[in-house]
Amino acid sequence: MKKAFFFILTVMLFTGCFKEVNTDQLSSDFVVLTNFDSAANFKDYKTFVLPPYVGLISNTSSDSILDPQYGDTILGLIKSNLQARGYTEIPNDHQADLGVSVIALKEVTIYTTGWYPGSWWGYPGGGWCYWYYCGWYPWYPPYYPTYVAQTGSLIVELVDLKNITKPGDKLDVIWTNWNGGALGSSNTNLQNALNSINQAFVQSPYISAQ
Amino acid sequence: MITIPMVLGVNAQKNHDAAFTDEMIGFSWDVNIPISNNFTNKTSLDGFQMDYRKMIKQDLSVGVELNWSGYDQYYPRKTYQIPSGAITTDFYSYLYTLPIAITVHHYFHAGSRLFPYAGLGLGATYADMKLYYNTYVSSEYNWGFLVRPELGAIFKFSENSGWGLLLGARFNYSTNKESSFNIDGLKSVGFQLGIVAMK
Repeated sequence: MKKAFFFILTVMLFTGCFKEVNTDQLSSDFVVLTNFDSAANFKDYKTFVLPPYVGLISNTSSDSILDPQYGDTILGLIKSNLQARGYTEIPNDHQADLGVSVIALKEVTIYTTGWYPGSWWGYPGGGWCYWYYCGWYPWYPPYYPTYVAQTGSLIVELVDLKNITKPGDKLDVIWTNWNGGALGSSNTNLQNALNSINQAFVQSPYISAQ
Repeated sequence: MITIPMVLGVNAQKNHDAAFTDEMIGFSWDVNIPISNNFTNKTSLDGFQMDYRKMIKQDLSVGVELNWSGYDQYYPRKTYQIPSGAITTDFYSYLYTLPIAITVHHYFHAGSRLFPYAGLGLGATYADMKLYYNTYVSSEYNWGFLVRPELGAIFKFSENSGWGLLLGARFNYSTNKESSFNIDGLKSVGFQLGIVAMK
């Protein structure tokens, strides 16, 4: 009897022991990851070209370009960060040392779950009606709460254009910056992206033309 | 006439040498303090233990122990250097361990109600590790070899009671490794407080 009691209690406690972590304290700021080619010498590069727009890949839209009101702001910030490090922007129809690639990714995932309300009172019988269901067993309407989670990433790359020996050569990426997280309103997303770009340059002090 | 006291004397000696119980099952709250743990260094108050012991000699038992402990810790936003780069984020680290051990305990008789013991457990530990950051989670799990020396005492509520209090302390070492989370072995000091039922 004692053994059974302890066994049941143990099973109950073990099955309940995977603690749900309360992640409410986690910041909504984007995660900022940077990676660089350790063989590259950033001082060898002096000029850069920006793309005319920020590309967009989304699973809910056929758009291929991020709205310019946001894209232009992002490109402008990347430009000012590179200029602050001693690099000079040149028109993109000129040969530059570095090419800047910027792309935004947006993914929307829809979660649904259903549950059924508790039993309806009583049972049907001749002449009894439950709401507008007469003579039938009660219908249990399910409820389907829907959760929508949007995640996004902004990827910035610096591409080596200086050391191409011939057209068609593979381009080396010497710096990659991935910024990602949950998406909110458009203004929140833009601010997160801008903060992330600044942080990416802060944690990449080796990006310098001098 | 002379033989009667001798027989009685022999019988009395046997009763004094009898084990204080035949078998016991215990359930304890298990608190663990991680040691030299780069993943989480916060004390776990979320832990429980079930152990069964069978006396094989007057002062020696063998048994099995099953525990679980959950550790979680929040790290504020900060930049971490990684090979050829850096990452800036805040995150939660979460570690869940499930040690299972075969145990041997030696008991020291200190009266009729208090039974201090020293023991050793050998077995395996299952470890589940997770990092939560923004909307993402990275997770790994693995097994490791476990060794745990321990000291403690069982205090019977009364001389004839089949119930008692268990108080213990031990050092846990498991060989679980996970390089991506900078885990090279799991060490902790644990304290148990619980109830035992004896038969």
